Amino acid sequence: MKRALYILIVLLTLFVIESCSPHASSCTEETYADMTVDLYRMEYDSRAEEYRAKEYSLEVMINGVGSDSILYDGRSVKSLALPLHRFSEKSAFNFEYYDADQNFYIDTIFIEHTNIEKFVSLECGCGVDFTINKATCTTNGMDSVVLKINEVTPSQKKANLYIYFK
Amino acid sequence: MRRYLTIFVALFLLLSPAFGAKKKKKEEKSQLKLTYSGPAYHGFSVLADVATPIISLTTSSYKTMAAEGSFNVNLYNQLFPTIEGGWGNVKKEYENGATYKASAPYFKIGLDYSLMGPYTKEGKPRQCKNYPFVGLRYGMSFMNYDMGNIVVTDPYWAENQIKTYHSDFTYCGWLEVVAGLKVNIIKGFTMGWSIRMKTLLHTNAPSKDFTWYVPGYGRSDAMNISFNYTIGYTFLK
Repeated sequence: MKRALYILIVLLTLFVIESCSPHASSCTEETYADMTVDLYRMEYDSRAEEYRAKEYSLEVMINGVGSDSILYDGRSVKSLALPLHRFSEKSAFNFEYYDADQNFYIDTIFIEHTNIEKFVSLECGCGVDFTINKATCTTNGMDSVVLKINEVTPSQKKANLYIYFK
Repeated sequence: MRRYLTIFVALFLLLSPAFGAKKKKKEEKSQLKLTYSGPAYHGFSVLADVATPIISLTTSSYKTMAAEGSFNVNLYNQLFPTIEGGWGNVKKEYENGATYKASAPYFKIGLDYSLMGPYTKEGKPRQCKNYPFVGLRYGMSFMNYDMGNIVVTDPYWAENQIKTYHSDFTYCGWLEVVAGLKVNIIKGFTMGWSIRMKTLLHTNAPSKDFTWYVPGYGRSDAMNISFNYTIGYTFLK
């Protein structure tokens, strides 16, 4: 009887230790979530005789409308991470770029989103997740913007938007 | 953490007189138990924990205050149903300016099991006054908390907001595994100590992050180990 009690207590102790799960992730990982955007260009496939989307590398300079800080400084990118506004439910970003034929364009994408505030911890403060409701763009060099995944959260790693260029 | 486990298990082994006991004696004892027809109730104890308030004053990274007492009943000189109650509060200020304040009464209910057994080596019933024990507790705290100066930053858009959170009635429940020793000093005056391993089971807060420190339990982000040293009086039947 007593031996069984000891075994039970030791097992319970091990279970308790095993169930202990300390916080391991950093503040940045838990609180910050950027909208991710993949760039595509429609190219004519002569074999299939149709237009197909292909990943597009673009040297682009990007800044948020209303902010002086530059997010991308003209380096070549195929995928972007853009910070949505945490205290406003509308964000806009200016794109300045040259296309493959060295024509210069300025376009703007407009994002309407719902902000979901979440308490993370006393050390990290609060974070904000987003739900994208609508995405539009000017069409100087851009063709269209397509919303793929609405949720912008730290755990969501796939592209939220596809931007198609002419 | 493994060091704590080793100490804890070693403590059980040291306190245990039953390991290595012969089968024959066990059989004799079990026969005696079956034939014993004495009363179930053998008295009760009222105890105050003197370690908790002292330890709470020594924590450097945050300020806590706590007081705790307990009441147990001696049944069959081996089982000790126990009720414990206390009150605690905590104040903490983080480097980022965030503050956390909480205060709450807490209650625990559980059972201690004497490792000495209710019989002498000769098989006669004995009054259980000095005994090592193991036990379990279920604890519950009903806390008010305030979190202030919680910053929401937007580094790119260069804006910040300050948030506060408040709750008047948040409960947290936890489990404690207890091991310790109680000794009768003189004429019913009792002293004892116990080590407790605690794990948080549930809360009605949106997440454990809202209940950073639970009075009676400790920090909610991990399992806790605490030490109690009690003094009190045992009223024998």
